Amino acid sequence: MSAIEILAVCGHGVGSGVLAKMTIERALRKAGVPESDYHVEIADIGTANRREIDIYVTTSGFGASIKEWKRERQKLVLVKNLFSDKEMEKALLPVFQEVAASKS
Amino acid sequence: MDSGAVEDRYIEGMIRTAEELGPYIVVAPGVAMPHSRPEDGVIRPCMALMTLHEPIEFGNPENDPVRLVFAFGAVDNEQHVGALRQLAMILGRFYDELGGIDDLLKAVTPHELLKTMLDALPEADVLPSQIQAERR
Repeated sequence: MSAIEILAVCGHGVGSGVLAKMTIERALRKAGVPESDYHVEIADIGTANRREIDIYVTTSGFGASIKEWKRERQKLVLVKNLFSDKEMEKALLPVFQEVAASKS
Repeated sequence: MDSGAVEDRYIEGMIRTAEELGPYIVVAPGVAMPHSRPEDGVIRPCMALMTLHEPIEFGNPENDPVRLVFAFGAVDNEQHVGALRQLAMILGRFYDELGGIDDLLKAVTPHELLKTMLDALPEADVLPSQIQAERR
């Protein structure tokens, strides 16, 4: 399976995107997903539209614009608390597993 | 700003960010992290913390009202990440294990607040020099 590409999206690529990336990585590590199975990057909303991405993770403020242009196969995960590993696990893991199943 | 870590215009940058991109800087229930781009006048990586006795509505329906404000400045995509990681670890514990951020709001002095936060950080993660710098 090729690694699942995850993009943490925020306004400037230095704040909430960084927090999201940390929480994503912690949640996947806790769930026992091997690091080679995924790759997490950070982007600001202006440069987030990328063909190779499998899952976008962001807060609801950016969700609407991502929905406008994301491709059908690309998933969108919205979280409200970027510090909560629990919330990230709950929101991301089912989607991650679905994408993993479709890629294998 | 007073410590010389950012230029005056960074404040305008933070306000512009909030206006242009909306209240997305409210990154968790009750917590806002105002910031702007490195090129908007950041001199060195910095962070300032403020607690609000009167909670403020930022216009974020999910996470309002805001009671804790962490303003920060980044000079690039990397140098501030260590500090953000520690902050994320601390706040993550408060949200996931300690039932929320109420205990942080009980602090009366900056020193108390810092102590409550550092107490929540796993010991292996605290660098003595860093605490000193933060307690100055």
